[in-house]
Amino acid sequence: METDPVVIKELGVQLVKAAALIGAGICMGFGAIGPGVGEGFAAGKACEGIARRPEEYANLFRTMLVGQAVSESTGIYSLVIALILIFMKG
Amino acid sequence: MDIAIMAALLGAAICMGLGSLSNGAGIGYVVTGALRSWARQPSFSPALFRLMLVGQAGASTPSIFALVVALILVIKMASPEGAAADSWAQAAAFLSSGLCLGFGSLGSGIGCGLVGCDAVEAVGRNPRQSGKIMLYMLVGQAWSQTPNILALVIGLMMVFGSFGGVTGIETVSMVGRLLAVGICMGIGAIGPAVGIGLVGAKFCRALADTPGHGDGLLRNTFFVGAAVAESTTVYAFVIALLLLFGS
Repeated sequence: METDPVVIKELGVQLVKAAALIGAGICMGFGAIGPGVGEGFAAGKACEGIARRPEEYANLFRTMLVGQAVSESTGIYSLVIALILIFMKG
Repeated sequence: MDIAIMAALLGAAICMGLGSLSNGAGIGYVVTGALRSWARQPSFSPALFRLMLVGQAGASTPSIFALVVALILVIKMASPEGAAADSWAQAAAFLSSGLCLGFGSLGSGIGCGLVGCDAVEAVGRNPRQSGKIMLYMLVGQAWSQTPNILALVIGLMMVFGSFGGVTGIETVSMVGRLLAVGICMGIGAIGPAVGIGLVGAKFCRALADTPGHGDGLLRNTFFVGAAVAESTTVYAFVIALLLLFGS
């Protein structure tokens, strides 16, 4: 059977699209694990600290939010990369 | 070629297998908390036993979600119209919904178990707060299940969606798209569910140690902390919807 060059080219385009979409899924999926666990850990320790010293609430709460925001950054990197993959190559 | 049937059965197996993997561990955590608590307060054992059963029931819901989707996949394939919808895209949708719910239940199983364990242990430390601790145990478990519920929504969309019309060379990118949806939402639900479980667990313990601030400072910290931890699963949900409804 003779293969048509047009079909081969179209197949390549479809394969690139499929790979970019799967890449976006893997990127956002695995990228969400670390920040989720990390932010939960920070908030849990903040609860523990506030239970021990309620008068330090303002400081502890602020530190928790800053720590969570920093931990969130890698999740946002994953989101940006996933969006780029979907809209550039998808 | 019965590719859709094979994919649905494989998806059902992955879904139920992964879904019960972490749930067994989570339900076990609740029992360890109850036993430690029991050793501390032997006179309080009937109430602790009741609370342990409630905590275990709450912790086993993620595997019930996985069971529902696995049953739908198997029943859909046993029906004649299900077997008629046979294409590679449909097969990818079935496999992907199994992946979505299987991985999606992994985190919630652990998270709900963590909350239940520390809540039962907290009642042993301060039995007078048992009503409030039980209430917030259920809140924490429900919150830890929200990533799993988002995964359930996406999974059901793929099980009941119709992808049989995609034919020809377009199938290649459609298969990739559907598998990406399941991977994104399923794996994206693991981390936030465990994280929310960690917050809920520490909050229940803090309720027992410092009951005076339970309804004020501590509850604020719990709600804000858990909401921030939830954000990444919402990103995964948005990406999954974009993938599913993209052109």
